[in-house]
Amino acid sequence: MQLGCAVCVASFLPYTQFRSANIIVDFFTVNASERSKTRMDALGTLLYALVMALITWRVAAGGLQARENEETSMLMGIPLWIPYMLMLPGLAVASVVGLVQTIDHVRAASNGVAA
Amino acid sequence: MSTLQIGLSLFGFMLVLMVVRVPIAIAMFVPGAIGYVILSGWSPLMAHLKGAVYGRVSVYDLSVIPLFMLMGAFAVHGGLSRALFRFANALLGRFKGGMAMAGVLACAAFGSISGSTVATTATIAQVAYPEMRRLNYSGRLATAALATGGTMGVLLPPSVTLMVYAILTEQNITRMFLAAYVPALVAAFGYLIAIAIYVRVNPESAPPAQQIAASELLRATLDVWPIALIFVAVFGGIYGGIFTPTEGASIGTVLTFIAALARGELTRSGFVECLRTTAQTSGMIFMIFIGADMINASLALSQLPSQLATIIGEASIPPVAVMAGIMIFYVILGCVMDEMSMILLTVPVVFPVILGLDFYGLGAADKAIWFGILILTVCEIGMIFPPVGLNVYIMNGLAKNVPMSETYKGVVPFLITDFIRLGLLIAFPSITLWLVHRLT
Repeated sequence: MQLGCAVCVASFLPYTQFRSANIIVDFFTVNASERSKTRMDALGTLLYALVMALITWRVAAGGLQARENEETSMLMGIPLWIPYMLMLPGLAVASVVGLVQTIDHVRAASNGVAA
Repeated sequence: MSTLQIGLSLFGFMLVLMVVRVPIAIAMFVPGAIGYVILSGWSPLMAHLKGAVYGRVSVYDLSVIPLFMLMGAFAVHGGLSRALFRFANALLGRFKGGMAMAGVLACAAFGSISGSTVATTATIAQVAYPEMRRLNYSGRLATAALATGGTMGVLLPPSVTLMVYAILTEQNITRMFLAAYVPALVAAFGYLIAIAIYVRVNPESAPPAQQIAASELLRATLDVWPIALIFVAVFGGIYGGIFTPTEGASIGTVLTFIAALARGELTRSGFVECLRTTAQTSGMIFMIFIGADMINASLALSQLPSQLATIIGEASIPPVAVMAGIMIFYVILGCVMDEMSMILLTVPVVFPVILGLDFYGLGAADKAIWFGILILTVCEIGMIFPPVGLNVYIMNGLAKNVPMSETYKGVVPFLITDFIRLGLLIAFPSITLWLVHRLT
Protein backbone atom coordinates (compact mmCIF):
# COMPACT_ATOMS: atom_id res chain seq x y z
CA MET A 1 0.00 0.00 0.00
CA GLN A 2 2.59 2.55 1.05
CA LEU A 3 4.75 1.50 -1.89
CA GLY A 4 1.91 2.28 -4.25
CA CYS A 5 1.32 5.53 -2.42
CA ALA A 6 4.92 6.64 -2.95
CA VAL A 7 4.72 5.84 -6.65
CA CYS A 8 1.39 7.63 -7.09
CA VAL A 9 2.61 10.69 -5.26
CA ALA A 10 5.72 10.87 -7.42
CA SER A 11 3.53 10.66 -10.50
CA PHE A 12 1.28 13.47 -9.21
CA LEU A 13 4.16 15.90 -8.78
CA PRO A 14 4.66 16.91 -12.44
CA TYR A 15 0.92 17.52 -12.83
CA THR A 16 0.86 19.75 -9.76
CA GLN A 17 3.76 21.80 -11.05
CA PHE A 18 2.25 21.88 -14.53
CA ARG A 19 -0.91 23.46 -13.15
CA SER A 20 1.28 25.83 -11.09
CA ALA A 21 -0.50 24.52 -8.03
CA ASN A 22 2.46 24.53 -5.67
CA ILE A 23 1.52 27.28 -3.27
CA ILE A 24 3.50 30.47 -3.17
CA VAL A 25 3.23 33.46 -0.87
CA ASP A 26 2.00 36.32 -3.04
CA PHE A 27 1.12 38.64 -0.18
CA PHE A 28 4.34 40.68 -0.49
CA THR A 29 4.28 41.00 -4.25
CA VAL A 30 0.68 42.01 -5.00
CA ASN A 31 1.90 45.45 -6.04
CA ALA A 32 4.98 44.32 -7.94
CA SER A 33 4.98 44.69 -11.72
CA GLU A 34 4.10 41.71 -13.88
CA ARG A 35 7.59 41.74 -15.23
CA SER A 36 9.35 41.45 -11.90
CA LYS A 37 6.82 38.81 -10.82
CA THR A 38 7.66 36.81 -13.93
CA ARG A 39 11.36 37.14 -13.12
CA MET A 40 10.76 35.87 -9.60
CA ASP A 41 8.70 33.01 -10.94
CA ALA A 42 11.57 32.11 -13.24
CA LEU A 43 13.78 31.82 -10.16
CA GLY A 44 11.12 29.75 -8.39
CA THR A 45 10.66 27.29 -11.24
CA LEU A 46 14.42 27.04 -11.79
CA LEU A 47 14.99 26.15 -8.13
CA TYR A 48 12.13 23.68 -8.41
CA ALA A 49 13.72 22.04 -11.43
CA LEU A 50 17.10 21.82 -9.66
CA VAL A 51 15.62 20.36 -6.49
CA MET A 52 13.62 17.79 -8.43
CA ALA A 53 16.70 16.85 -10.45
CA LEU A 54 18.66 16.39 -7.22
CA ILE A 55 15.89 14.26 -5.74
CA THR A 56 15.60 12.16 -8.91
CA TRP A 57 19.33 11.48 -8.82
CA ARG A 58 19.36 10.55 -5.13
CA VAL A 59 16.27 8.34 -5.33
CA ALA A 60 17.91 6.53 -8.24
CA ALA A 61 21.03 6.05 -6.11
CA GLY A 62 18.87 4.91 -3.20
CA GLY A 63 17.15 2.42 -5.47
CA LEU A 64 20.45 0.98 -6.68
CA GLN A 65 21.61 0.64 -3.10
CA ALA A 66 18.38 -1.08 -2.10
CA ARG A 67 18.92 -3.52 -4.95
CA GLU A 68 22.49 -4.30 -3.93
CA ASN A 69 21.45 -4.87 -0.33
CA GLU A 70 18.41 -6.83 -1.48
CA GLU A 71 16.08 -4.88 0.80
CA THR A 72 12.47 -6.02 0.74
CA SER A 73 9.23 -4.61 2.15
CA MET A 74 8.28 -5.92 5.54
CA LEU A 75 4.86 -7.41 4.89
CA MET A 76 4.86 -8.69 1.35
CA GLY A 77 8.54 -9.14 0.62
CA ILE A 78 8.48 -6.96 -2.49
CA PRO A 79 12.00 -5.90 -3.44
CA LEU A 80 12.23 -2.24 -2.47
CA TRP A 81 14.13 -1.13 -5.55
CA ILE A 82 11.00 -1.57 -7.67
CA PRO A 83 8.99 1.29 -6.10
CA TYR A 84 12.16 3.39 -6.01
CA MET A 85 12.58 2.96 -9.75
CA LEU A 86 8.88 3.52 -10.43
CA MET A 87 9.14 6.88 -8.69
CA LEU A 88 11.83 8.05 -11.08
CA PRO A 89 9.76 8.89 -14.18
CA GLY A 90 7.45 11.13 -12.14
CA LEU A 91 10.30 12.93 -10.45
CA ALA A 92 12.25 13.35 -13.66
CA VAL A 93 9.26 14.68 -15.57
CA ALA A 94 8.57 17.12 -12.74
CA SER A 95 12.09 18.45 -13.09
CA VAL A 96 11.66 18.84 -16.86
CA VAL A 97 8.33 20.62 -16.39
CA GLY A 98 10.04 23.04 -14.02
CA LEU A 99 12.79 23.66 -16.53
CA VAL A 100 10.37 24.30 -19.40
CA GLN A 101 8.45 26.75 -17.21
CA THR A 102 11.68 28.53 -16.34
CA ILE A 103 12.47 29.00 -20.02
CA ASP A 104 8.94 30.29 -20.61
CA HIS A 105 9.25 32.76 -17.75
CA VAL A 106 12.65 34.01 -18.87
CA ARG A 107 11.35 34.51 -22.42
CA ALA A 108 8.25 36.26 -21.15
CA ALA A 109 10.30 38.52 -18.89
CA SER A 110 12.58 39.58 -21.74
CA ASN A 111 9.57 40.23 -23.98
CA GLY A 112 7.95 42.20 -21.20
CA VAL A 113 4.75 40.17 -21.04
CA ALA A 114 3.40 37.93 -18.29
CA ALA A 115 3.64 34.22 -18.86
CA MET B 1 29.07 30.89 13.43
CA SER B 2 27.51 28.70 16.06
CA THR B 3 25.11 25.99 14.96
CA LEU B 4 22.31 27.97 16.54
CA GLN B 5 23.11 30.99 14.40
CA ILE B 6 23.19 28.76 11.32
CA GLY B 7 19.77 27.46 12.24
CA LEU B 8 18.41 30.98 12.54
CA SER B 9 19.95 32.10 9.25
CA LEU B 10 18.38 29.12 7.51
CA PHE B 11 15.05 30.29 8.77
CA GLY B 12 15.72 33.81 7.53
CA PHE B 13 16.86 32.58 4.12
CA MET B 14 13.69 30.55 3.82
CA LEU B 15 11.51 33.59 4.54
CA VAL B 16 13.39 35.61 1.90
CA LEU B 17 12.78 32.93 -0.71
CA MET B 18 9.10 32.84 0.22
CA VAL B 19 8.77 36.60 -0.18
CA VAL B 20 10.08 36.40 -3.76
CA ARG B 21 7.40 33.90 -4.77
CA VAL B 22 9.48 30.74 -4.68
CA PRO B 23 7.05 27.85 -4.05
CA ILE B 24 6.87 27.22 -0.29
CA ALA B 25 8.05 23.63 -0.59
CA ILE B 26 11.16 24.71 -2.50
CA ALA B 27 11.73 27.70 -0.21
CA MET B 28 12.00 25.19 2.63
CA PHE B 29 14.01 22.59 0.74
CA VAL B 30 16.82 24.81 -0.58
CA PRO B 31 17.94 26.37 2.76
CA GLY B 32 17.44 22.95 4.32
CA ALA B 33 19.80 21.30 1.88
CA ILE B 34 22.38 24.08 2.14
CA GLY B 35 22.23 23.98 5.93
CA TYR B 36 22.70 20.22 5.89
CA VAL B 37 25.86 20.62 3.81
CA ILE B 38 27.24 23.33 6.14
CA LEU B 39 26.43 21.44 9.31
CA SER B 40 27.45 17.99 8.30
CA GLY B 41 28.82 17.93 4.76
CA TRP B 42 27.99 17.06 1.18
CA SER B 43 28.15 13.28 1.32
CA PRO B 44 25.94 12.99 4.42
CA LEU B 45 23.33 15.06 2.55
CA MET B 46 23.61 12.77 -0.45
CA ALA B 47 23.25 9.73 1.78
CA HIS B 48 20.32 11.31 3.63
CA LEU B 49 18.44 12.06 0.41
CA LYS B 50 18.79 8.50 -0.85
CA GLY B 51 16.26 7.25 1.62
CA ALA B 52 14.58 10.40 2.96
CA VAL B 53 12.27 11.24 0.08
CA TYR B 54 11.10 7.69 -0.41
CA GLY B 55 10.79 7.27 3.34
CA ARG B 56 8.71 10.43 3.63
CA VAL B 57 6.14 9.60 1.00
CA SER B 58 5.85 5.86 1.62
CA VAL B 59 4.12 5.98 4.99
CA TYR B 60 0.96 3.93 5.27
CA ASP B 61 -0.84 6.58 7.34
CA LEU B 62 -0.24 9.19 4.64
CA SER B 63 -2.36 7.33 2.09
CA VAL B 64 -5.36 8.47 4.12
CA ILE B 65 -4.91 12.02 2.82
CA PRO B 66 -5.52 11.51 -0.93
CA LEU B 67 -8.36 9.10 -0.15
CA PHE B 68 -10.27 11.50 2.04
CA MET B 69 -9.63 14.25 -0.50
CA LEU B 70 -11.12 12.14 -3.27
CA MET B 71 -14.12 11.42 -1.06
CA GLY B 72 -14.61 15.16 -0.53
CA ALA B 73 -14.26 15.83 -4.25
CA PHE B 74 -17.02 13.32 -5.02
CA ALA B 75 -19.21 15.00 -2.41
CA VAL B 76 -18.57 18.39 -4.04
CA HIS B 77 -19.35 17.23 -7.57
CA GLY B 78 -22.22 14.98 -6.55
CA GLY B 79 -24.39 17.88 -5.36
CA LEU B 80 -24.38 16.69 -1.75
CA SER B 81 -23.92 20.27 -0.54
CA ARG B 82 -27.37 21.28 -1.82
CA ALA B 83 -29.04 18.49 0.12
CA LEU B 84 -27.18 19.46 3.28
CA PHE B 85 -28.00 23.13 3.01
CA ARG B 86 -31.67 22.47 2.33
CA PHE B 87 -31.83 20.23 5.38
CA ALA B 88 -30.05 22.75 7.61
CA ASN B 89 -32.36 25.49 6.41
CA ALA B 90 -35.45 23.38 7.06
CA LEU B 91 -34.13 22.90 10.57
CA LEU B 92 -33.11 26.48 11.40
CA GLY B 93 -35.11 28.60 8.95
CA ARG B 94 -37.75 29.51 11.53
CA PHE B 95 -35.28 31.66 13.47
CA LYS B 96 -34.38 35.18 12.45
CA GLY B 97 -31.08 34.94 10.58
CA GLY B 98 -31.88 31.25 10.22
CA MET B 99 -30.47 30.88 6.74
CA ALA B 100 -27.10 32.25 7.84
CA MET B 101 -27.20 29.74 10.69
CA ALA B 102 -28.12 27.03 8.20
CA GLY B 103 -25.07 28.01 6.13
CA VAL B 104 -22.85 27.51 9.17
CA LEU B 105 -24.46 24.19 10.00
CA ALA B 106 -24.19 22.97 6.40
CA CYS B 107 -20.50 23.90 6.41
CA ALA B 108 -20.01 21.87 9.58
CA ALA B 109 -21.84 18.90 8.10
CA PHE B 110 -19.97 19.08 4.82
CA GLY B 111 -16.68 19.57 6.66
CA SER B 112 -17.37 16.28 8.44
CA ILE B 113 -17.08 14.31 5.22
CA SER B 114 -14.62 16.50 3.31
CA GLY B 115 -10.97 17.00 4.11
CA SER B 116 -10.55 20.28 2.32
CA THR B 117 -11.60 23.55 3.92
CA VAL B 118 -11.46 25.36 0.62
CA ALA B 119 -13.81 22.85 -0.98
CA THR B 120 -16.18 23.04 1.99
CA THR B 121 -16.41 26.81 1.89
CA ALA B 122 -16.73 27.06 -1.86
CA THR B 123 -19.27 24.32 -2.33
CA ILE B 124 -21.62 25.39 0.46
CA ALA B 125 -21.29 29.04 -0.50
CA GLN B 126 -22.19 28.28 -4.13
CA VAL B 127 -25.49 26.88 -2.94
CA ALA B 128 -26.20 29.07 0.08
CA TYR B 129 -25.00 32.49 -1.00
CA PRO B 130 -27.45 33.07 -3.93
CA GLU B 131 -30.31 31.85 -1.74
CA MET B 132 -29.37 34.24 1.08
CA ARG B 133 -29.14 37.21 -1.24
CA ARG B 134 -32.47 36.30 -2.81
CA LEU B 135 -34.05 36.58 0.64
CA ASN B 136 -32.38 39.98 1.23
CA TYR B 137 -29.63 39.00 3.60
CA SER B 138 -27.02 41.76 3.67
CA GLY B 139 -23.85 41.01 1.71
CA ARG B 140 -21.82 41.59 4.84
CA LEU B 141 -23.61 38.98 6.94
CA ALA B 142 -23.99 36.45 4.13
CA THR B 143 -20.35 36.42 3.06
CA ALA B 144 -19.00 36.59 6.62
CA ALA B 145 -21.19 33.76 7.92
CA LEU B 146 -20.20 31.44 5.07
CA ALA B 147 -16.49 32.33 5.18
CA THR B 148 -16.49 31.67 8.92
CA GLY B 149 -18.59 28.52 8.72
CA GLY B 150 -16.12 27.09 6.22
CA THR B 151 -13.24 27.41 8.68
CA MET B 152 -14.71 24.54 10.68
CA GLY B 153 -13.43 22.28 7.93
CA VAL B 154 -9.93 22.80 9.35
CA LEU B 155 -10.93 21.26 12.64
CA LEU B 156 -13.52 18.65 11.69
CA PRO B 157 -12.28 15.21 10.69
CA PRO B 158 -11.26 14.21 8.08
CA SER B 159 -9.43 17.54 7.92
CA VAL B 160 -6.20 17.23 5.95
CA THR B 161 -4.46 19.69 8.25
CA LEU B 162 -5.46 17.61 11.25
CA MET B 163 -4.13 14.43 9.64
CA VAL B 164 -0.87 16.17 8.76
CA TYR B 165 -0.41 17.24 12.38
CA ALA B 166 -1.14 13.74 13.64
CA ILE B 167 1.33 12.15 11.24
CA LEU B 168 3.99 14.74 11.98
CA THR B 169 3.82 14.34 15.75
CA GLU B 170 3.22 10.58 15.51
CA GLN B 171 -0.11 10.74 17.25
CA ASN B 172 -2.89 8.25 16.75
CA ILE B 173 -5.11 9.67 13.97
CA THR B 174 -8.26 8.20 15.47
CA ARG B 175 -7.70 9.86 18.85
CA MET B 176 -6.83 13.10 17.11
CA PHE B 177 -10.10 12.94 15.14
CA LEU B 178 -12.12 12.36 18.29
CA ALA B 179 -10.52 15.32 20.04
CA ALA B 180 -11.78 17.70 17.35
CA TYR B 181 -15.52 17.15 17.77
CA VAL B 182 -16.29 18.96 21.02
CA PRO B 183 -14.19 22.04 20.12
CA ALA B 184 -15.90 22.11 16.69
CA LEU B 185 -19.27 21.91 18.42
CA VAL B 186 -18.27 24.83 20.64
CA ALA B 187 -17.24 26.71 17.49
CA ALA B 188 -20.55 26.10 15.71
CA PHE B 189 -22.47 27.08 18.83
CA GLY B 190 -20.46 30.29 19.12
CA TYR B 191 -21.15 31.18 15.49
CA LEU B 192 -24.89 30.57 15.84
CA ILE B 193 -25.00 32.82 18.90
CA ALA B 194 -22.97 35.46 17.06
CA ILE B 195 -25.50 35.41 14.19
CA ALA B 196 -28.46 35.56 16.59
CA ILE B 197 -27.00 38.60 18.35
CA TYR B 198 -25.94 40.25 15.11
CA VAL B 199 -29.40 40.10 13.51
CA ARG B 200 -30.94 41.54 16.67
CA VAL B 201 -28.52 44.46 16.71
CA ASN B 202 -28.83 44.96 12.93
CA PRO B 203 -32.37 43.83 12.09
CA GLU B 204 -32.08 45.10 8.52
CA SER B 205 -29.29 42.64 7.70
CA ALA B 206 -31.61 39.64 7.64
CA PRO B 207 -35.24 39.04 6.57
CA PRO B 208 -37.91 38.07 9.12
CA ALA B 209 -38.01 34.40 10.05
CA GLN B 210 -39.54 32.01 7.49
CA GLN B 211 -42.29 29.48 8.02
CA ILE B 212 -41.04 25.99 7.29
CA ALA B 213 -43.68 23.33 6.66
CA ALA B 214 -43.25 19.96 8.34
CA SER B 215 -43.44 18.28 4.94
CA GLU B 216 -40.46 20.33 3.75
CA LEU B 217 -38.42 19.20 6.74
CA LEU B 218 -39.37 15.60 6.05
CA ARG B 219 -38.42 15.85 2.39
CA ALA B 220 -35.09 17.47 3.23
CA THR B 221 -34.38 14.78 5.82
CA LEU B 222 -35.03 12.03 3.30
CA ASP B 223 -32.64 13.74 0.92
CA VAL B 224 -29.85 13.91 3.47
CA TRP B 225 -29.90 10.40 4.93
CA PRO B 226 -27.36 8.86 2.51
CA ILE B 227 -24.81 11.42 3.68
CA ALA B 228 -25.58 10.65 7.32
CA LEU B 229 -25.21 6.97 6.52
CA ILE B 230 -21.80 7.47 4.91
CA PHE B 231 -20.66 9.50 7.90
CA VAL B 232 -21.81 6.86 10.39
CA ALA B 233 -20.35 3.98 8.35
CA VAL B 234 -16.94 5.59 7.89
CA PHE B 235 -16.38 7.21 11.25
CA GLY B 236 -18.36 4.69 13.26
CA GLY B 237 -16.09 2.05 11.78
CA ILE B 238 -12.94 4.01 12.50
CA TYR B 239 -13.88 4.96 16.07
CA GLY B 240 -15.27 1.52 16.77
CA GLY B 241 -11.89 0.10 15.83
CA ILE B 242 -13.40 -1.99 13.02
CA PHE B 243 -11.05 -0.56 10.44
CA THR B 244 -8.08 1.81 10.19
CA PRO B 245 -8.52 5.42 9.02
CA THR B 246 -7.10 4.47 5.62
CA GLU B 247 -9.59 1.62 5.21
CA GLY B 248 -12.38 3.88 6.41
CA ALA B 249 -11.38 6.50 3.88
CA SER B 250 -11.46 3.94 1.06
CA ILE B 251 -14.91 2.76 2.07
CA GLY B 252 -16.09 6.36 2.35
CA THR B 253 -14.73 7.20 -1.07
CA VAL B 254 -16.59 4.33 -2.69
CA LEU B 255 -19.83 5.09 -0.81
CA THR B 256 -19.68 8.80 -1.66
CA PHE B 257 -19.04 7.91 -5.27
CA ILE B 258 -22.13 5.69 -5.30
CA ALA B 259 -24.24 8.36 -3.55
CA ALA B 260 -23.11 10.98 -6.06
CA LEU B 261 -23.96 8.65 -8.97
CA ALA B 262 -27.34 7.84 -7.46
CA ARG B 263 -28.20 11.53 -7.25
CA GLY B 264 -27.43 11.66 -10.96
CA GLU B 265 -25.33 14.77 -10.60
CA LEU B 266 -21.86 13.35 -11.09
CA THR B 267 -21.03 13.78 -14.75
CA ARG B 268 -18.17 12.21 -16.62
CA SER B 269 -16.26 15.48 -16.75
CA GLY B 270 -17.04 16.01 -13.06
CA PHE B 271 -15.50 12.62 -12.29
CA VAL B 272 -12.34 13.47 -14.22
CA GLU B 273 -12.21 16.80 -12.41
CA CYS B 274 -12.41 14.97 -9.05
CA LEU B 275 -9.41 12.83 -9.93
CA ARG B 276 -7.52 15.86 -11.20
CA THR B 277 -8.01 18.05 -8.14
CA THR B 278 -7.12 15.16 -5.88
CA ALA B 279 -3.91 14.46 -7.81
CA GLN B 280 -3.01 18.12 -7.92
CA THR B 281 -3.63 18.80 -4.25
CA SER B 282 -1.92 15.59 -3.15
CA GLY B 283 1.11 16.55 -5.21
CA MET B 284 1.15 19.96 -3.53
CA ILE B 285 0.83 18.57 0.00
CA PHE B 286 3.46 15.89 -0.46
CA MET B 287 5.86 18.36 -2.04
CA ILE B 288 5.53 20.52 1.08
CA PHE B 289 6.12 17.41 3.16
CA ILE B 290 9.37 16.76 1.30
CA GLY B 291 10.51 20.39 1.64
CA ALA B 292 9.58 20.65 5.31
CA ASP B 293 11.37 17.39 5.99
CA MET B 294 14.58 18.77 4.52
CA ILE B 295 14.62 22.00 6.50
CA ASN B 296 13.59 20.22 9.67
CA ALA B 297 16.41 17.72 9.24
CA SER B 298 18.94 20.53 9.16
CA LEU B 299 17.24 22.49 11.92
CA ALA B 300 17.54 19.35 14.01
CA LEU B 301 21.26 19.22 13.17
CA SER B 302 21.60 22.84 14.27
CA GLN B 303 19.93 21.84 17.54
CA LEU B 304 17.73 24.89 17.32
CA PRO B 305 14.58 23.09 18.50
CA SER B 306 16.19 21.45 21.53
CA GLN B 307 18.09 24.60 22.52
CA LEU B 308 14.93 26.64 22.20
CA ALA B 309 13.14 24.11 24.40
CA THR B 310 15.90 24.36 27.01
CA ILE B 311 15.98 28.15 26.97
CA ILE B 312 12.23 28.43 27.39
CA GLY B 313 12.19 25.63 29.95
CA GLU B 314 14.81 27.38 32.09
CA ALA B 315 13.37 30.86 31.84
CA SER B 316 10.75 30.91 34.54
CA ILE B 317 7.84 32.03 32.37
CA PRO B 318 4.48 30.52 33.28
CA PRO B 319 3.68 27.77 30.72
CA VAL B 320 0.31 29.31 29.92
CA ALA B 321 2.05 32.58 28.98
CA VAL B 322 4.38 30.62 26.67
CA MET B 323 1.32 28.99 25.12
CA ALA B 324 -0.39 32.34 24.63
CA GLY B 325 2.80 33.69 23.04
CA ILE B 326 2.96 30.75 20.65
CA MET B 327 -0.67 31.25 19.69
CA ILE B 328 -0.08 34.95 18.93
CA PHE B 329 2.97 33.99 16.88
CA TYR B 330 0.80 31.59 14.88
CA VAL B 331 -1.89 34.20 14.23
CA ILE B 332 0.79 36.53 12.84
CA LEU B 333 2.46 33.80 10.79
CA GLY B 334 -0.95 32.75 9.50
CA CYS B 335 -1.31 36.20 7.95
CA VAL B 336 1.36 35.42 5.38
CA MET B 337 1.57 31.63 5.19
CA ASP B 338 -0.91 28.92 4.41
CA GLU B 339 -1.97 26.64 7.25
CA MET B 340 -0.43 23.44 5.98
CA SER B 341 3.08 24.80 5.46
CA MET B 342 2.85 26.64 8.75
CA ILE B 343 2.20 23.40 10.62
CA LEU B 344 4.79 21.37 8.75
CA LEU B 345 7.41 24.03 9.29
CA THR B 346 6.83 25.08 12.88
CA VAL B 347 5.55 22.01 14.67
CA PRO B 348 8.92 20.22 14.71
CA VAL B 349 10.42 23.33 16.34
CA VAL B 350 7.61 24.23 18.71
CA PHE B 351 6.50 20.74 19.68
CA PRO B 352 9.58 19.91 21.83
CA VAL B 353 9.06 23.21 23.68
CA ILE B 354 5.48 22.26 24.49
CA LEU B 355 6.41 18.75 25.56
CA GLY B 356 9.08 20.20 27.86
CA LEU B 357 6.61 22.37 29.74
CA ASP B 358 4.11 21.33 32.36
CA PHE B 359 0.47 22.12 31.57
CA TYR B 360 -2.00 21.13 34.26
CA GLY B 361 0.00 17.91 34.72
CA LEU B 362 -1.12 16.49 31.36
CA GLY B 363 0.65 13.42 29.98
CA ALA B 364 2.70 13.66 26.76
CA ALA B 365 0.06 12.13 24.48
CA ASP B 366 -2.72 14.29 25.93
CA LYS B 367 -0.56 17.36 25.61
CA ALA B 368 0.15 16.57 21.96
CA ILE B 369 -3.54 16.18 21.14
CA TRP B 370 -4.53 19.29 23.07
CA PHE B 371 -1.82 21.38 21.43
CA GLY B 372 -2.85 20.09 18.00
CA ILE B 373 -6.42 21.25 18.51
CA LEU B 374 -5.15 24.64 19.72
CA ILE B 375 -2.98 25.09 16.61
CA LEU B 376 -5.87 24.10 14.37
CA THR B 377 -8.10 26.62 16.12
CA VAL B 378 -5.55 29.31 15.36
CA CYS B 379 -5.39 28.07 11.76
CA GLU B 380 -9.16 28.53 11.57
CA ILE B 381 -8.77 32.07 12.81
CA GLY B 382 -6.04 32.65 10.23
CA MET B 383 -8.44 31.74 7.43
CA ILE B 384 -10.66 34.74 8.11
CA PHE B 385 -8.18 37.06 9.82
CA PRO B 386 -7.14 40.19 7.86
CA PRO B 387 -5.13 41.00 5.80
CA VAL B 388 -5.03 37.58 4.12
CA GLY B 389 -7.94 35.35 5.06
CA LEU B 390 -8.12 32.54 2.51
CA ASN B 391 -11.82 31.98 3.08
CA VAL B 392 -12.58 35.67 2.70
CA TYR B 393 -10.84 35.50 -0.67
CA ILE B 394 -12.94 32.53 -1.69
CA MET B 395 -16.14 34.34 -0.73
CA ASN B 396 -14.94 37.40 -2.57
CA GLY B 397 -14.46 35.32 -5.70
CA LEU B 398 -18.05 34.07 -5.46
CA ALA B 399 -19.74 37.28 -4.37
CA LYS B 400 -18.20 39.81 -6.69
CA ASN B 401 -20.55 42.64 -5.78
CA VAL B 402 -19.61 42.59 -2.07
CA PRO B 403 -16.30 44.38 -1.39
CA MET B 404 -13.81 42.44 0.67
CA SER B 405 -13.77 45.14 3.35
CA GLU B 406 -17.48 44.45 3.95
CA THR B 407 -16.74 40.77 4.57
CA TYR B 408 -13.90 41.63 6.95
CA LYS B 409 -16.26 43.88 8.90
CA GLY B 410 -18.85 41.14 9.01
CA VAL B 411 -16.31 38.63 10.26
CA VAL B 412 -15.53 40.60 13.44
CA PRO B 413 -18.29 39.13 15.66
CA PHE B 414 -17.25 35.64 14.57
CA LEU B 415 -13.61 36.38 15.33
CA ILE B 416 -14.62 37.48 18.82
CA THR B 417 -16.29 34.11 19.46
CA ASP B 418 -13.21 32.39 18.00
CA PHE B 419 -10.87 34.12 20.44
CA ILE B 420 -13.19 33.38 23.37
CA ARG B 421 -13.20 29.72 22.29
CA LEU B 422 -9.40 29.68 22.01
CA GLY B 423 -9.17 31.06 25.55
CA LEU B 424 -11.57 28.40 26.82
CA LEU B 425 -9.66 25.62 25.08
CA ILE B 426 -6.37 26.80 26.60
CA ALA B 427 -7.88 27.17 30.07
CA PHE B 428 -9.77 23.88 30.03
CA PRO B 429 -7.94 21.07 28.19
CA SER B 430 -10.75 18.73 29.24
CA ILE B 431 -13.01 20.27 26.55
CA THR B 432 -10.65 18.73 24.01
CA LEU B 433 -9.71 15.55 25.83
CA TRP B 434 -13.03 14.49 27.32
CA LEU B 435 -14.34 12.62 24.29
CA VAL B 436 -10.96 11.01 23.61
CA HIS B 437 -10.84 9.63 27.15
CA ARG B 438 -14.45 8.53 27.04
CA LEU B 439 -14.13 6.54 23.83
CA THR B 440 -10.61 5.12 23.84
